[in-house]
Amino acid sequence: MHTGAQDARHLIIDVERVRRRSRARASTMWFPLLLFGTASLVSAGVVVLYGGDALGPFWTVVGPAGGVITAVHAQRRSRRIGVETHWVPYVAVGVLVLAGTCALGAGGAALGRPMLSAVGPSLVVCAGHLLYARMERSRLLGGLALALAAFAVLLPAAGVAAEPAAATLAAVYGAASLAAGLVLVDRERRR
Amino acid sequence: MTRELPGFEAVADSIRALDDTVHQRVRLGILTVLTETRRADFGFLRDTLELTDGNLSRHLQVLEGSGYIAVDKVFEGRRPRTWLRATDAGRAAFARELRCLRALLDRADDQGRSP
Repeated sequence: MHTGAQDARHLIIDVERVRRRSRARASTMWFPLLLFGTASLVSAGVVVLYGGDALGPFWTVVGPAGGVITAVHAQRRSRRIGVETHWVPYVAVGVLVLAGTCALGAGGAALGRPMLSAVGPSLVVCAGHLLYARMERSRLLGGLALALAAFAVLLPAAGVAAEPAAATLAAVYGAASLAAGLVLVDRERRR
Repeated sequence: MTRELPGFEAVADSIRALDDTVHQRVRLGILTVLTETRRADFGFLRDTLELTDGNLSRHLQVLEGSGYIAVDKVFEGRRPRTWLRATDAGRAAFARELRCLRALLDRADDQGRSP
């Protein structure tokens, strides 16, 4: 067997190409982006109609329900296309995000810091997105997370009050997630 | 008389460390998919790697014979399905192969840079 450096280079390039292709075919990230993006847009309406205090109960119900729907969808899809991914890290990040958002939302209210309740959960969601982006090696998701985190930090700095900040963040997060989800759906259709 | 380049022995060591079973484009592709996922079925592998059924089957037999993959043939409803997953030995062999290939490249690059 003779293996030159050129051969090694071609094999490594091949491995990376197959990795990308396999990951892209197995990925279902578009689904939670569309689902939670829609839920986030609805939550912006909830803040406008019922006030910022309604966000806690809304996400306490919608968050876990969305997680279960996403898990069922991922399982059905994996059966259909013939691939199962390592799901434990995804569930772990989902649980951490849910716990973190609840803790900061409730903690901000308990401490009398409404801005912490308004912005803190969004930053936790962005951190979760960054972890998912790393797992999926998705620049789109990583860029979305960083842009949303920057927006979440800038809103209070710009002097926006807590309740409008919460509604604006929910609307922007929802719209951006929907857009990212649609981009991923389009990529999948093109494959 | 040939004059050995600096690092020649190191390159030769990397080449000797390559595993013949894994050091093959298709089999490396199969292990790439199976280490990236928890398990994949025959059709997913075939479509991802753009292979024919026969070609994929031959390479799967080699990997299964070496204990690098586990094959699970099941019936889902009335439909037969073949699930494949990388064993611990397969994951280790894949990681080792990548390390060897990268070492080979690095050393070849070092040789290229040396005067």
